[in-house]
Amino acid sequence: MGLSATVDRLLGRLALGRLHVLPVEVPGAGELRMRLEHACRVRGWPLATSPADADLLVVCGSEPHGDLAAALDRVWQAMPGPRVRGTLSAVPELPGVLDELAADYLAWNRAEDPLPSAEPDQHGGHDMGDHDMGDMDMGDHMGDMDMGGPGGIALASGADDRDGLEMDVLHLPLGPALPDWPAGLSLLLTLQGDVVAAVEVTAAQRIPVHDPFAYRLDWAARLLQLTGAGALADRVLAARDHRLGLTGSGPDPVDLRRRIARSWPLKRALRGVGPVDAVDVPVEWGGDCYDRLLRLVDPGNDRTAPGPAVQDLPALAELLPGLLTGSELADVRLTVASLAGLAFIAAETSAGSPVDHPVGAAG
Amino acid sequence: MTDAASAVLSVVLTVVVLGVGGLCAAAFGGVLAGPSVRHGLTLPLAETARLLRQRRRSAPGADLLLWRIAGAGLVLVPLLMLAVVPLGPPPVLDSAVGVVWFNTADVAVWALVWLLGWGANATFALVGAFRFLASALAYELPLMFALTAPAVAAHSLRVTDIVAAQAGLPYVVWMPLAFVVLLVGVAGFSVWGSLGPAAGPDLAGGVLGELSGPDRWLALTGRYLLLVAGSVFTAALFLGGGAGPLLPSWCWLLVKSAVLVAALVVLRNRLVLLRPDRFMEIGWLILLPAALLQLLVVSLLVTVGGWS
Amino acid sequence: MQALPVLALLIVGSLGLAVLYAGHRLLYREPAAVALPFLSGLAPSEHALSRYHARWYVATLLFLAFDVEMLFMYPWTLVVAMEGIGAVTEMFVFLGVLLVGVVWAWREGALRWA
Repeated sequence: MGLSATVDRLLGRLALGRLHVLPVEVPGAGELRMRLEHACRVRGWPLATSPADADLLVVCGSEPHGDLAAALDRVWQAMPGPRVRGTLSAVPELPGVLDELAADYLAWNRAEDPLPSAEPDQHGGHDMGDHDMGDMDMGDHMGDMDMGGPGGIALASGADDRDGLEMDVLHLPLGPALPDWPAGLSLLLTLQGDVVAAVEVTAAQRIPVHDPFAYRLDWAARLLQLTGAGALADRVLAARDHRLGLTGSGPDPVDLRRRIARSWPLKRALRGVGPVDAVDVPVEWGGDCYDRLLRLVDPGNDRTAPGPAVQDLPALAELLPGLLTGSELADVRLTVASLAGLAFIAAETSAGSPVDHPVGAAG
Repeated sequence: MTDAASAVLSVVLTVVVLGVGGLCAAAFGGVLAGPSVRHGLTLPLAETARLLRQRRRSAPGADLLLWRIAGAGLVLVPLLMLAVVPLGPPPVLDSAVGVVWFNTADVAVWALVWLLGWGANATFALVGAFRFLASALAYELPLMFALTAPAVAAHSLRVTDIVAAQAGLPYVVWMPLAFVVLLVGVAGFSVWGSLGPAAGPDLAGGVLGELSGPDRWLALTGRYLLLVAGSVFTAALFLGGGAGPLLPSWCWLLVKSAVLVAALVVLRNRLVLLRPDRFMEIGWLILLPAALLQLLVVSLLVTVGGWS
Repeated sequence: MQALPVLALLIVGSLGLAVLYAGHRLLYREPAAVALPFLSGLAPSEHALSRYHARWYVATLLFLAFDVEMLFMYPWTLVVAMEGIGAVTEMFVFLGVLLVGVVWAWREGALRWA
């Protein structure tokens, strides 16, 4: 046992240079998440794409409740381990939190953090609590349960699609804890293949923010990441970090916009994606994803004094079902990313009460 | 050197070239991405340690056997691809149809990448798997035609013959279109860069999204190994293999392959992800006619002009 | 006889795989963790293994036509230099006919499916 513990410790030490971080943003804590991302980038820690890829789960913002808490638990269960869960609720905590999490990662003991057992939620309330996976070798498939298919989860059922073929339907939530997805917006997509047959909005909150221009740059970077233009996305992230005061100098905004406008592959990839008629919606949302990308990085939209604003996700959510039905999954991600960045309105003009989520201390 | 000793040397050299090539490709990628050069160079070591320490995962109802076969296969297929290329000593398999052997290996990758997505029993992974198949339909045929151009010029499908026939002039000089198309194909079957929407960020990692631990390590390493094997093969077919002054032949081959691998790694994030519906038109209407045009020119030069 | 080195190569590769898996198993004596697929933190309502609607099935047929044509292509590459311009003409007439098919499919929208 001594040998395996020693090897484990050695592997842990070697891995410390590249821990994969999965930040989950509580609605309203966007700036905290951005600062966390910057801190990780400085250390050379990449962001995880999915829980299976993640070592550290960092919840940015105050303690979540309700749906988000349940979602976080499921994400935590999906992480294989070594895994560490941490919370970042204020900016001053930042460097310390990452060091602590790294130390916990190193000290993680797999005997103390046992195998997560499968607990699929079921509509029949079938109790899976007695299914102890502890000693079973799960290398083989689980035995069939009475309800539906393996693991108590139903098999996909079919429905007629546009071509009149009966194809199976999959339900895909784009929900609370998804990387590069707006916090506070949850959709449930009905997919046939990778085409969206129906969109249901399950949550849309109004989120107060302090510096909307930083968020615009953040969303521009995310849109560029989703398009695959990683190099350009890194430049926009540098501009965002400079805007937040995290770095001494950033790329020239005019030059950045010019670079993005000059990129012909980007234009070809985003032209015609998510076209919105600017009727009954803010003018900024009109056009396709390429137009919206250029608006997101346009320095002319910078307000000299960052004023309080609100991310109006409910207005966005009204638009989405009509806009997204019939499009591909990739187009859905790109469209939502481009619209989310433009959904900021000044706080005085917003109707209704803002969501009561304390924001981390603004820098 | 006896046959047996030569065979052993070839086998060892193939494994070493592939392993070291993959390591260097990953380190170079890290240097380009990371905050510092030193940090980037340690990327392969850090990621390997991190993944070895991770637990493995499975999902209820997942097709585990096929899922694991996919990961294992992605590491074995590059070995087979490289088996027909002369790395200095004669290749491990000096097949008279080496080019077809390479083609078969890269078609096997279709099944493996699709199984990575199917085996996971997850929606994002499944969408990624079918994205890969759609991309493959677009890049595979141009790749096949690009492979035939050097074969026509060298009158042979044996890789050693094709390398030998380039002693005077590397084929890239008079077959540039086929060279580019082959490199696009290499990026395609390595799920790399612009042709990697199957593992894209919009699908939370796609076909790679549910993998962890050694299984994830195998899939990620497999991609790098496919990239290296494809680049070495392209260097042999178009850049003249080991031909060149001063340095020994194995050295030249490594240098040429390294240049190709470096170019592909640099281009990884610089363009955009070509989603299959957009790439279909590019593949069938641009790449395929280009490859066919190149083939026509080459055939005419070979038959009428007497080139080789 | 020629197959032996390739088999040796595959065996070496497989041994590497075995060392990886066995090493991981010996180091950490535990089975794989069972986890639900990642659905943004929500539970799955059905298995993902299903009849997937691959909208590009028309392009598959086009691919098949060319793929069968490759059966003729590879032997042709070996003899074209000897056979001369006649062989080139025959093959490219054949390819031209297939390309007309591609153009037709393009105009019919088989390459753009939405």
